[in-house]
Amino acid sequence: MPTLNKACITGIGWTTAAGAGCGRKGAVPEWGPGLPQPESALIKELEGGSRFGRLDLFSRIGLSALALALADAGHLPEKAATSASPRDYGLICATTSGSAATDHAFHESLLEHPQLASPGLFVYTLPTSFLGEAALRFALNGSGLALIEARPGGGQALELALEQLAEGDEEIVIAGVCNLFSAAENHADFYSGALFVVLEKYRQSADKSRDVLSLGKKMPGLFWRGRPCPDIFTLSRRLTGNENQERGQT
Amino acid sequence: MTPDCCRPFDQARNGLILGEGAAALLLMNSSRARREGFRPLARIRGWGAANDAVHLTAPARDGRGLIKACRRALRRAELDPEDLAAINAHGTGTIHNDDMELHAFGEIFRRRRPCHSVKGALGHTLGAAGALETVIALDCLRHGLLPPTTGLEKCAPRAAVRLSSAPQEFSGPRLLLCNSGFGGVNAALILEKVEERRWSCQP
Repeated sequence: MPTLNKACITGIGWTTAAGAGCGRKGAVPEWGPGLPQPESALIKELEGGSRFGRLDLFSRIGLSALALALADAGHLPEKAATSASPRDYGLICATTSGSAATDHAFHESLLEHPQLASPGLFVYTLPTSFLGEAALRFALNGSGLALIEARPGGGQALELALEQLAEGDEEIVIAGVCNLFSAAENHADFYSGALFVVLEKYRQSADKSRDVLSLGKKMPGLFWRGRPCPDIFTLSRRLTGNENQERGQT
Repeated sequence: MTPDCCRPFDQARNGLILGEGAAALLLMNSSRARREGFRPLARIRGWGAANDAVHLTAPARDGRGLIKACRRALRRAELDPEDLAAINAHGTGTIHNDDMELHAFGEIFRRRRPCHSVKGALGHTLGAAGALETVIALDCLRHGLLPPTTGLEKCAPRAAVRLSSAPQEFSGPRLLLCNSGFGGVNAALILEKVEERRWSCQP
């Protein structure tokens, strides 16, 4: 059974309609209506341009945020994934929209051409597909899990990441949220975008001064530096030093 | 996709068919279930997941991700492979998936045990497959019986598991479920039957 549900946060990356970014100080993940444009210069540099444009939009949003979080933590492999040694990192993504937009597009293509449904879409009809893309590109062979949540929050993904680190499945887990909503759904807190953090196993002797996320001992829920942290959006504001900014305020 | 019918683990298998379906399961921890008077259909003893990191659509030929996922599930459950009585395989009916699974089972298990796939009967329901197959597995545990592997005529050679086009009995309270998906994701689940007598006796 897990005994120590604590983790150090060593990286954060995001892709929203307002732009893509990473880093714990200075930059701010801003959320608002509209579709993210994940083809930023930084992403192109990280990706080397390989097949990124062929992915569905949900995958591009998720993959770019995940890559930025890994880059921020200093965990992007220097060489292409195919030549890098596999690393036992876990990937957990909470999602409300899932891959519904791609599923719908695939269904449309199936109705239009029953014998020639798009294989390029078929592959991305699961919300875990982009986690496989990340596993391939960054040589990660830990778990790949998508959690469905009723409204975007990411708390369960963070809690599961802490559990996996405590269980010893992995030493590093990248956890976060990824959503792609239609214009009609795009309101209040239902904004398209992705946000991931890199969580590393907490070592009592070395990690006292770092950003520590933990599960409550007496009270349920997540705590960051000892303060309640209900979701990943709150966590990101605290990590980037923008606590007073409300989500959605751009 | 197969142009005719889906034949999981058959020598002549040539692809999958798509299916449609939905399933929902209510999960809760045992203390809450006991407190609120629920009688569980089964207990999740262990689970594991792992990425192949090999190819987006084709499984790792050596089954590395599935083997890792199964071993993680066994470790969480604190069980030995021999403690598992039967297997609900992913069994899509594609050449490479079924080869990969048979190879993985051969690596994990020392002796052959009953195994089946429902995809010859239901088709591949993609994102719903895991939940649907868990519901079927609950019934398998209750009756100690695996359903036939529809479409199977001549089993793939040297199969490390026992496959049949007829129902198969098994004895034992635990069953392994496996699923693999696009991107090279693999998941394993160990379900355990909860005896009513033991459930009501436990504190």
